[in-house]
Amino acid sequence: MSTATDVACVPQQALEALRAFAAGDMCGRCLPCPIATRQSIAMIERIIEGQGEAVDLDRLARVSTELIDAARCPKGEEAAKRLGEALASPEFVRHVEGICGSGTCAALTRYRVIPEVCTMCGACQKACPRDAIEGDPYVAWRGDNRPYAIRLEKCDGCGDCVAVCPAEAIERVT
Amino acid sequence: MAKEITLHIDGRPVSVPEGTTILQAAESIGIEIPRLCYFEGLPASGSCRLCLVEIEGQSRLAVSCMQRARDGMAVQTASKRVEASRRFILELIWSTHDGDCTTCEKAGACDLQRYTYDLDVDKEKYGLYAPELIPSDLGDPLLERNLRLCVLCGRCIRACREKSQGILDFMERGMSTIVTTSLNKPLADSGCDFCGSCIEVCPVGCLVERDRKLRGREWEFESAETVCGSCSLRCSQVLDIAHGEVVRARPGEDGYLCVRGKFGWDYLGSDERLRVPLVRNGDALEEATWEEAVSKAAKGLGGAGSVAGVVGPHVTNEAIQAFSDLLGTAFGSKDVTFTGGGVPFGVLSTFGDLNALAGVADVEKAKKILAVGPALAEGYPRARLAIKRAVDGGAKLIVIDSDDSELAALATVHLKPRAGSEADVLTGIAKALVEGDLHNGDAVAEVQGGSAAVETIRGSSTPETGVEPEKIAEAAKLFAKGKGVVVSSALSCEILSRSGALLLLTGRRRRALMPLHPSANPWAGVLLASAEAGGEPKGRYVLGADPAGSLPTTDFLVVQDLFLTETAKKADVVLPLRALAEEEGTVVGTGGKLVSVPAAVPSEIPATWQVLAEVAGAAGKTLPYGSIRDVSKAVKGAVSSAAGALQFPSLNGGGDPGEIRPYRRFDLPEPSWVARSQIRDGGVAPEIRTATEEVAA
Repeated sequence: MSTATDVACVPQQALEALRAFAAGDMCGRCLPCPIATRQSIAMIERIIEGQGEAVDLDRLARVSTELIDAARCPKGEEAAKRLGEALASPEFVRHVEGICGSGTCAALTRYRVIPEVCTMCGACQKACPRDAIEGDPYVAWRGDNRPYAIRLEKCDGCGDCVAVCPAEAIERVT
Repeated sequence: MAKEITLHIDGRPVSVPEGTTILQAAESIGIEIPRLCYFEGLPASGSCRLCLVEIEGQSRLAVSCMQRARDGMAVQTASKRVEASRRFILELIWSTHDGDCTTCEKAGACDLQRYTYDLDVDKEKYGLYAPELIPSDLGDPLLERNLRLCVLCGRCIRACREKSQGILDFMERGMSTIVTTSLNKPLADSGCDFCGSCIEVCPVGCLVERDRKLRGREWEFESAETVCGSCSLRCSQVLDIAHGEVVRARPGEDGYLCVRGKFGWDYLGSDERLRVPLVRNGDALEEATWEEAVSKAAKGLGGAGSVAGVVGPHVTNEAIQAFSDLLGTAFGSKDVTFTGGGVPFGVLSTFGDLNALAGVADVEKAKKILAVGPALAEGYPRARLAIKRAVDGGAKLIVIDSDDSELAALATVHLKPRAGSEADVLTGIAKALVEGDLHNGDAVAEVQGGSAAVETIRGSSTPETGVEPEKIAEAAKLFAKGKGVVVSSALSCEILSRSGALLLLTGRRRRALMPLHPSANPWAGVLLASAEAGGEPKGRYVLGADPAGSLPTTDFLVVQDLFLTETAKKADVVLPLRALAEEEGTVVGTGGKLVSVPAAVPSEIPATWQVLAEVAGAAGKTLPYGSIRDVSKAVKGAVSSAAGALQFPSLNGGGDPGEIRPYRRFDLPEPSWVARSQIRDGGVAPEIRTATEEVAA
């Protein structure tokens, strides 16, 4: 599992910060803090999964401003402020639009095979856990080879194909 | 007197004593600040954050239930910023509150519902978060805990700590916080005594009485204030009535009911209640009209020749008075046995009047408390609460109990004698008082036989009880001075007479003795001061008592009771009886004062004094009463003229009750309604362990 410090994605950082707050400093004894944190975690999880909506951004913004007033202790206030700082980044809006700027949110990341570079070795197809790559390995005497291509509706953006490609023939499209 | 300060709330000036919170100050001028966790009478926790207000010149919002008002402060309770914060919190609560107001019992009395309406809150703002993980009913007897509705205000936790066993707390932590018992065990396995104090403070529908479910909405309730009739403490009680039936009981002014008061009223509407008279036809009891039954009763008793009465301690003074008048006027009998025991006579013959009887307020204010008797805290939770409050306030507690009971844990000195020798411990304390010259010589000298008794005590030998003499001496020293009371769950004459002796020795004669009795009107025995037991009667009228097996057979038996008791099954005529909650009248309270009880619950059964007057009428005689007021007047006269002697009780032997009052003695089972109540079915109310038929000397 990645931590807040080693991931470049802003929503993921915000999520980890909230999770760390929930697991650590938060006592849960005054009302707004635990509920707001639980709700915020759920919303950011949705956003990272590519299911975020514009209304989630409003709700998160509301948590980040109102929790400063509503929280009893500086810990809750601090958590709200950190969330507010994260929301100030354009990355949240981009995620809701379907783009993860750092390419670390798997659900928002898509790849394509560059046909000019592909050697048609078939390593990507073997590595794909979702069976999202179609195509046949190169056989010289055959004329009906299907070139390798990623079916976006099956792809979950895990990036395993990129790791195994010997020719660097797979690139990120979003 | 605290200094007065003046501040402005929403532009209106208000003067309050220094130390008042902003919330209380606002309330004093009719401004209600929304709150969920704050509850008057419980310590504030400041956790729900709904009561936040804006104070001019302060950047942060202030928690008005905790922050004290200061002179010159300007407070806004409903500014834009405050309302935004409040709305935010309510939206968040709705994201965890899996409830539907249309079927929620609390609808109409729910604080969350009211604030949501007032601010027109968007309930779906944050969606509902995984409530299916939490059970909607934890399955406890008597009350439902639906944690899906919990708003984590913590009121129940504080109420349980303040008034009861302190078994609830926030469990888990952070986002998983829930309010429950340790290890989330069922209430019954957690030491809960089911007083329901948690229900009274719950702002939402999370804690609800089971027996009120689906029997009416809050706005349909008509409330009637009365006193609980489940024991001699007679706590104030409010009965909520919907569609002609009691559906809920709540504490009255006193703010506390035990399980009997809170849940033990269900017998009132029981299907087993007697509602129409029954008359004997051969082996069977058949339904009859009131006229038939009354005339048959009058004829049967009139024809029997000699008649005796038995009356229980659960009826009003007026019923007892009219009963005694009926037997005297219509059947020429003075033979009336009161099954509530002779405690009031013991008090009269020791202290001279009933002023010596103490109430819970006296115990709460006491500085020295001597508690004696078995299972006192368990059997009489209100007495336990009074003692606990006094101890929390610095009172010293001496407990005489052969068990390591709940009360013993609170005690400064716990005297643990062999079972059965509690009375001897009291004698030991009396001796230690005299030997240590700790008794109040002047006060004792005023008591008839007092000085002689002191000498007798001085010369007596200390009885062997299994308690170290040093501990008895310590108890004597502790008890000697200060406002003191004796609380006794034992009604044995030995224990009560020795308690009386201790109080006289220390010069405490007013509001100093609290005998605990499992019925509502046990001191009403004084109304029958002129009763006499005659020979074996041929006819008998039993009113609100169930002596069953110990009742000798008579030619004719009339029984008037709530249920078809074992005694009633043997009767020739059975008449229905109003319960205490249904009957207007009085009971004899602490200090010998008369306590009015209203007819809180409507009943189709005629008032008891009227039934008795009808029986007299059918026998050709008239009771001198035109209305309940006339009966009350007679009661007042009889109670106020009850007097005895200020006389030192004997410390030798038991003092046979027969020496004081020629009583017939009967075995009395648990009151018929307790056995028929859900509190017994559920096994949640401990039986009161006292012998009721004994008389204090």
